[in-house]
Amino acid sequence: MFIMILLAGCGAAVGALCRFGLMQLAQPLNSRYQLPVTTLFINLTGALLLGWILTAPLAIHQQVFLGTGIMGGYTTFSTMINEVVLLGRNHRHHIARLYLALSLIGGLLMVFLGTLI
Amino acid sequence: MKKILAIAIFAMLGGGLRELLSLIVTWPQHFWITCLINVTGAFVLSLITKLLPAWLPVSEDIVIGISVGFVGSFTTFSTFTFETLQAYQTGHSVLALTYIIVSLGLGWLAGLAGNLLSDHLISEEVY
Repeated sequence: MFIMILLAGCGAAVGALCRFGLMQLAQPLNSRYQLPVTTLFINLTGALLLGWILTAPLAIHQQVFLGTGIMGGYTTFSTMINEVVLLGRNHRHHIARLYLALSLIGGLLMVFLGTLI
Repeated sequence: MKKILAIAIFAMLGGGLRELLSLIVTWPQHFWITCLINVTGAFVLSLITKLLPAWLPVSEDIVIGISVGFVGSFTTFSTFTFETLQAYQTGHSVLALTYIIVSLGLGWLAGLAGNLLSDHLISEEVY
């Protein structure tokens, strides 16, 4: 059990750093779009890759490191919700709904595509 | 550099805790643990984003470590979509829909509650 937690933890560190790196790189986009495009991009690409990882012929240790760890740390549910809440509180209800819909429908489509690879 | 180290260490703890919970919880419909993790994380992140720097004299590195690293890695979007797809593909379409509505609905309510609570606590501090 301990080894699984360690694998997931180490993977999550890699994933979170990729997420942070992308967020830093994409910072100029924040002023251009009201839609949080960076988080959307991260969550959609992460869903695609997780769909592939969890249906690929990999050992359980590899799936925990790559899937639970890296993809779990890379994608984030809490930031998405926080952005939806902030958009709503800034009276951007339209964009909040669009963002939520794009995340959900896009995420389901991407994870499905991932399982087909 | 310190920021990167803080994110890595806190993300390790967040991702490790998620795996620990997923291993020790033996609910028949196992994916509800992801829902619980995501809803809790949404509340905590919305609460601490402004509150943590206002309350604790900690460095920006630690704040980013906890929010981006710990809570960001504790919660997960990709597993949420995979579990929804899995429920749907195994013939449990009503369950899949329930899972979506509960995760996003409760997640949004938790995030809103965290945000309002942090505003309230910060304004009390000032006046």
